[in-house]
Amino acid sequence: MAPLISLRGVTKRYDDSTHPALAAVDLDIEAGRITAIMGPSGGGKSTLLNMIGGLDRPTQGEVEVAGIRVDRLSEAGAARFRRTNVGFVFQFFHLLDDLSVADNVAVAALLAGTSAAEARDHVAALLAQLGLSDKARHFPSTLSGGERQRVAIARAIVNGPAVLLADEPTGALDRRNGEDALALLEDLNRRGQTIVLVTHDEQLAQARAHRIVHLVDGAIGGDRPARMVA
Amino acid sequence: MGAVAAKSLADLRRRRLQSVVLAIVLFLGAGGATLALSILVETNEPFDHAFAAADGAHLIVDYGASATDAQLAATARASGVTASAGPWPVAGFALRGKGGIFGGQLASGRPTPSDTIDRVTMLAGRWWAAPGEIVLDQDTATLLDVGLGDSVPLLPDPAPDKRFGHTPPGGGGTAVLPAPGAGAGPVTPGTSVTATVVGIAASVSTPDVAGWLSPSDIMTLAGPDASLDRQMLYRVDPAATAADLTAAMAHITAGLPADAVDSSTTYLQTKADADSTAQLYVPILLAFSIFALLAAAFTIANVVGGIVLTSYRDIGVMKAVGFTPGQVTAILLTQILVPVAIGTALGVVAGIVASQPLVARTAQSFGLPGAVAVSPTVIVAVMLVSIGVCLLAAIGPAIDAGRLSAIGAISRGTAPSRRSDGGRLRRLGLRLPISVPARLGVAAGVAHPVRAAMTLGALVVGVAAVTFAVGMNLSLLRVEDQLDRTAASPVRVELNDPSADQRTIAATIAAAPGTGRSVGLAGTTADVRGLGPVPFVGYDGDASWIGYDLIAGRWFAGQGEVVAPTAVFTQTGLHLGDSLELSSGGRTVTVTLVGEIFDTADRETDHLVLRGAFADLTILDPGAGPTSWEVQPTSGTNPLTYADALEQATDRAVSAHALDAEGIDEGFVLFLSVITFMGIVLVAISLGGVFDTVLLETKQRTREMAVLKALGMSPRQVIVMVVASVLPVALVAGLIGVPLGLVFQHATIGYMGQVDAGTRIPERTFDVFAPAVVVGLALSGLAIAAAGAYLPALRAARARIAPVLQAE
Repeated sequence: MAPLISLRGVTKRYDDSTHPALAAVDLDIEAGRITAIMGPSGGGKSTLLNMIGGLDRPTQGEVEVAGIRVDRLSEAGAARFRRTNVGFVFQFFHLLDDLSVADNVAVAALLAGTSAAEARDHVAALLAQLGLSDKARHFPSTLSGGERQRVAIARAIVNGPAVLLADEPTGALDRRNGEDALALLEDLNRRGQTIVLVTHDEQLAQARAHRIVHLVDGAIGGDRPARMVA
Repeated sequence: MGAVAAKSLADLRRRRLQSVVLAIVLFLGAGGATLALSILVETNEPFDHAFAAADGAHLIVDYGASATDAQLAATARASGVTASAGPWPVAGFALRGKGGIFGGQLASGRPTPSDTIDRVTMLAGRWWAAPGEIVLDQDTATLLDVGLGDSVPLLPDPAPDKRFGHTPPGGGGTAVLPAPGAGAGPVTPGTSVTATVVGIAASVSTPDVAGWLSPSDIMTLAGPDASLDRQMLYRVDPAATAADLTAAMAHITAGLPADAVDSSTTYLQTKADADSTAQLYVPILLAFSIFALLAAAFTIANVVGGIVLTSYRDIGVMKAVGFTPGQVTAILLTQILVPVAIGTALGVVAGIVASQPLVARTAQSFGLPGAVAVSPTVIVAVMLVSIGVCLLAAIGPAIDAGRLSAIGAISRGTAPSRRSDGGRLRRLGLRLPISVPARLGVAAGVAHPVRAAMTLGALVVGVAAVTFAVGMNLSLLRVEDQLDRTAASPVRVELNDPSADQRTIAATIAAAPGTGRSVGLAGTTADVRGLGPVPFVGYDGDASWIGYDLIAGRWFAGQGEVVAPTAVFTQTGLHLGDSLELSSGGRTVTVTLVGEIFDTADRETDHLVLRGAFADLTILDPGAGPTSWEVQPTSGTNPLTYADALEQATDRAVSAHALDAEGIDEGFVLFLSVITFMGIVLVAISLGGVFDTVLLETKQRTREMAVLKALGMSPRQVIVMVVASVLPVALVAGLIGVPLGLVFQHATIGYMGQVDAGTRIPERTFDVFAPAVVVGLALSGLAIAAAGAYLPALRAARARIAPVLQAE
């Protein structure tokens, strides 16, 4: 089966750094699995995620996601790609403070071209599914960290993306809320959602991921199945 | 370098775009203020300089025939007189130049330019030495388009009073004076003289003299039987006030017959005329400058507030590493005041440079060299006010920022917003039936009322400035049309040959091919109780079509009715329907004021004139016949061709000239240019204000925009969102700015009418905006806002997403 995500010789250099953030990375990621990207700080984990999500472009190499050459997309093309092909979950949630919970989720659907009525219904169903119906009209500042991350996950999956990219999704949560968030991601994966997860947490990766890729100094230092698969 | 200086420099480098725009805003504001004040100061001073340099005359008196030469000589020894010059003959005459015949000019037989007082400045050539030579006033030379060595035909003044019918707008263009013997019956015919221009000169005390030539030439022009006026100039002490001059005049004329003085002028009147340019310009320029500084203040308050909002984390870190509240405040103020000081300094220089053409023009009109004029007072005042206004706008937020605790600032800079929903307006914005990016932008734009109010202030100034500048230009062009009456009466005909039969001329004009309508007119001077001598112009037929705009009432219907400019009503206290008695040479006629017309008349006659039926004129002056005509050619007739044909048809007994509908006075164009320039400056300031505000707003919303871009918002949609954030405010600015601009336009034109000619302004002058233009002006706020927001929006659209989302 062809990989959902394919990176070939991906190198990323930043102007202000002598060492590349990513150095000729080759990586294939299969659909329907949770792939954990691990490694020390500065190893290139988030950079790799940004390449896959079309948030940044490689200096060199090819990035293909769901059959789309992401590295070749224009800014507008990358925006269109992100609307329907990827969903992001960030460590610090990055909810829009001025929008209600429902609007935070709906805005992603509306940007993808969903009609207002359809978006409203879809968002309501999604929030109910995630146990957030009673928070729909609340604003992010009134939610707990766990609730905020659930809203962020709802926003990430509202358009049914090909891949969910989660960058340290539990990094700003306490243990219980972190477990809840991971359980939610696992549940989504069981229903077919491909997830690429960046984490520092070896235990978490071992417990939840199908595969663990180690990035060290911008290069793949290890690639092995996780314990849960074994 | 101290810590404060190092941090300030670093911040200035980091915010260089914002600093540059701030500097540009101040550059424009200070430049506009300097331009206005320089014109105010420097156009006032040339008269004083020239007057002092020339030992100008405090009193200029024209004497009639009743005083003997010996009596006039004795006036030089009157109490209070410290110096005198004259007498020499003066008379009215006409000049033929490339632009036609210019009547109503004053010829002076002054024998030398360098007398004890009022030394005439020789700009070129030499003084006249013999009959057949003339020294032209510089304005006259320009008007005639002649130079040294040219021959100029000098003609007897065919109709000394015809000027009452043809006053140029604003009183500019030709020099006029109450002609000797005006109103006393027909003038004895004189003979033409051809003179060679041997000099070009300027006189401070007698700016109404068009040419200096030999007394014998003047006598030839006036006619053998003419009784010439004689002019004398006096310096008196004291002379500071009008009362001083009135007292001096009483001493001078004490030993003369009661009717010895034909006319007199004081240096204060001449100075007031010279100051009229400044009087017209300065209120407008000052209004613009106040607008500019207000807009700059709005922008700066907005920018400082924005810097504080976007720098909370930075401020917290500064305080954590040991900066005191005072140092934090100093760093913030430095970030503002450095670009403000640079912008202001450059603006002052630019303002001085921009003011020079007008200042030089004024100086040259007195024969002074057009040297660069710099007023230290203006420089200091503009610098102090500009920097002071900015300091006032910045100091509050800067002190507040300095008082923040380190932890408080850091947590405010990093924690999510604690605002629950940003207010009702924002919620309404989110429900608008527009695209998602536009909706998000509109909601963000109204979420911060104080900032929105500041942006609104800057935009209101911009919209009001556009409205004012456009309105002033359109209204002043209309005033030019209204006063010239070019559309209604494009061909003006003057009797050239006093011996020609006026009735035959009138019939020739009426029968000429291409004549649509024509009417003859003549003038005399009538005494009106409460006003003294007032020009009366009689029209020999229906003149309701000649184009005078009515301010109130109606055009005169026949004998016994007159129309008059506002000055007649204000100076007499009379109203429409009131009667007044006119008398001349023992003959009287009673007329009723039936209309107030838009007619600036003549500055020399205090803008007074009465226009009525020829029958009333002939009662006052039984020998009068038409001396000029106004003609409206038939549709499709070329006025220029028509005028040429008419001169030929009358065997050049008349001079006919077509008014140039497109021709506008150079000074008027300069005036309009200044208004337009200042309008552009204010729009630029407004644009800069929006730019800086939106730049800060986008910086503050960097994370939000990165999130939206991560969710799939395209660069174009980011631009739409950012631009949309200023549009609600821009719409409101349009609704406030347009009426505000119109109010200023009304007030300014009204003021100009009062200052320049003591006239009210007809409503038609203001009715210059088509509905579509008003809508366009209201929407100009949108254009300014969109233009100001576009670059920051583009910057936001191009900003990288990843670093923002990873940094927290």
